[in-house]
Amino acid sequence: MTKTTTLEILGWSTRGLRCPDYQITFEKDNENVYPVTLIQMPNGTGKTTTLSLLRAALSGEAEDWKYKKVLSYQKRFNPTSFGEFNVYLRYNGSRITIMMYFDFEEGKVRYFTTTGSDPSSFSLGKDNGFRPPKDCREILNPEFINFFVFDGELAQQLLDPEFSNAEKAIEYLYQLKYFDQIKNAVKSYWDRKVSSTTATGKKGYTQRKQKVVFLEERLKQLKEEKAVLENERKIKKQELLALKQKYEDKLASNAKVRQEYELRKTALENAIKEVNELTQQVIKASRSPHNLSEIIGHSVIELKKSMDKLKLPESTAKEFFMELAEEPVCLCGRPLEHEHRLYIRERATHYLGSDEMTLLNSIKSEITNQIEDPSKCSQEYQDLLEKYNKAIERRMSAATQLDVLKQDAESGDSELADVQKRIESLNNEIANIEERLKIYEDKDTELPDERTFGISVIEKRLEEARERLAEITETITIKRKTDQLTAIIQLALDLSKEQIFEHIKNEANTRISRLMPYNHIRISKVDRALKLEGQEAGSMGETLSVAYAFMATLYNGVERQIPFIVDSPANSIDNNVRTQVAEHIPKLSKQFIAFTISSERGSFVLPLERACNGDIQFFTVFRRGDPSLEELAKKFSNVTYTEDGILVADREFFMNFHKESEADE
Amino acid sequence: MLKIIEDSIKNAVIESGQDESLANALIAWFRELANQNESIDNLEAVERRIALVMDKTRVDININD
Repeated sequence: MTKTTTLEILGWSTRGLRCPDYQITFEKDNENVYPVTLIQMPNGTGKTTTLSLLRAALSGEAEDWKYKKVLSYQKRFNPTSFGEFNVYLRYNGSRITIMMYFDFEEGKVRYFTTTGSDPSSFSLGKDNGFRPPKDCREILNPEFINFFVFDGELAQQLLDPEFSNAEKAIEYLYQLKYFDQIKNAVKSYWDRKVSSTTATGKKGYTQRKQKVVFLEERLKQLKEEKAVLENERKIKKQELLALKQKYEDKLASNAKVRQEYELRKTALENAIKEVNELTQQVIKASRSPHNLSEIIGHSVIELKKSMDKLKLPESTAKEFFMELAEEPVCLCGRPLEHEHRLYIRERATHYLGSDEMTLLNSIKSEITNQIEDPSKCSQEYQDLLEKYNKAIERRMSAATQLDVLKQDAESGDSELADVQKRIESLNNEIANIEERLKIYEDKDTELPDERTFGISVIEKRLEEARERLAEITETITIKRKTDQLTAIIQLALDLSKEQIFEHIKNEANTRISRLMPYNHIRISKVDRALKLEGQEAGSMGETLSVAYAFMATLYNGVERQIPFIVDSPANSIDNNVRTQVAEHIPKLSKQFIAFTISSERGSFVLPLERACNGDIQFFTVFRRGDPSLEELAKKFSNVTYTEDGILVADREFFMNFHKESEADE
Repeated sequence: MLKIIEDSIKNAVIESGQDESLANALIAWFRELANQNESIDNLEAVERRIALVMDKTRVDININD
């Protein structure tokens, strides 16, 4: 499922710090490191310091160290102003060097990171910080580092329910954190959605839904009412049409009135047509004010004359003066100074712009074209009005004559009179219906829904309400989906944990039974911490053995190869368990580095050497100053001397090294 | 061992009454994150993944008081 990730520690060097200066390498050749390395350092040599430096170098945590903490790493004897600790790594085949530069005067630690094979590319003048490759940072973070730079304290914490180290280790190694990442991404998606919507809850949904339902009902009701009226009108109009036809037919059947009726009817139609045409002409003529009154016409002519007299608009526009202000010399030949230019620009605003000039010229031209003689215009308008009035009179007269003819005909024919009455009644009824229909065309948007009759207004409100409902419906759908997804992801995480924890418990117990066949200590449950069967805690040796078994199960269970660095791997373990632990160590990881003291060698080193088929490195690091040890070191060839320390890379020296007075660090 | 995670996702999806295609979408996302082919900081990729899993998630949208 995942790619294999490999991290190896190629070595480290320290200078000017509390532990002796030394440099150490774990490289067997260009491609491989020793699977097991033992570094023997007597108490007081700087084992704990080296482990702390390693953790700090791998995590970048020293960037935040306080002044006092930084100073605690300064040499006690012959202190210098600066110190450094470098760690050399190989991550998925690429070399990385992380350098910690201690400035004891400022009380600060600066990091420098290089990738590639050339550590000389450091630039001390440039603080490039703690910058390992991005994908490597997953391993190189303070919490996870504690799982592979391992000490007795962490071993105890693995079994302490106050701590959640066991759970954390599993979560890191099995990448269970991605469940949380997915869960958080889903939550963020919901947060983004909710921030752009106006209502999200059930209450908001209900309100919007009710509004839509009400408006739908209201619209339906109004349309039905309108349809009923329209249908009524349609029926009445059909009836009216039929009655009118009946009336016509009835009149036509009377030979005496038929011809006269046709004549009067045609006369009325012509009169109506004439009135309509003249109405249009009167409206058009009324739009020119000089037609309405001779006085207005004369005033407009006076306006044009005044404009002509004042030479408005001038042919010289504002733009001319603005351009002049840019010239070096004035029209009069005088050079233009700054203050002259300012004055010209200011005065230019008193002149018209070219747009204004065009408008004024257009007005003048129109006055000339339209008002040649104001009195003539006014007279023409008056003549038109008179013609219009006469046409109206003719229409009235024609209508009257037709009515008279009809009345005459009706007076001698009761059926015709009834038809006419019914026609008049229908006309009134239709007019009444049309008046009632007007309410549905109302455009008033101020009234509440229940008092609004305008169908288009209700339709618009319904459209808006539907949009608002759709918005909240979508929001609620997304909310339900995010809730569902979150629950699924949490359930998947719980199921994964349950099975992984069970698997690890069984595997670790198998290892414990091999490590301590006569001891019945077993893990009963893997949770936040490891729980032991029937007991709260074991002895230090038991705790360490359980921790090794647990870590071995973890490291053998995933596609990740990480070094395992341990402080005093056998110190507190009984001799018989030491051998078992030693035999187990090569299976823990591809690279095992341990800090030991001479008292740990018994029952540990030889079985370990056998278990890794002799593929093991032995280092002894001690401070200068003990003449007997220095004398002993001289007998060996692979010895490095520094200002305050000696490093011997030799198995025989390692095995025979014994420092009587091991002081506490 | 990591098959446990995939099986757990499948079981969680089935237990929740969802379609198996949702499990496949979640497993694919998990894989890409675990393989570091995708980052959760890549908003564009995350949006795409969420759109997919949202599309595969079925919910009852009959909302009643």
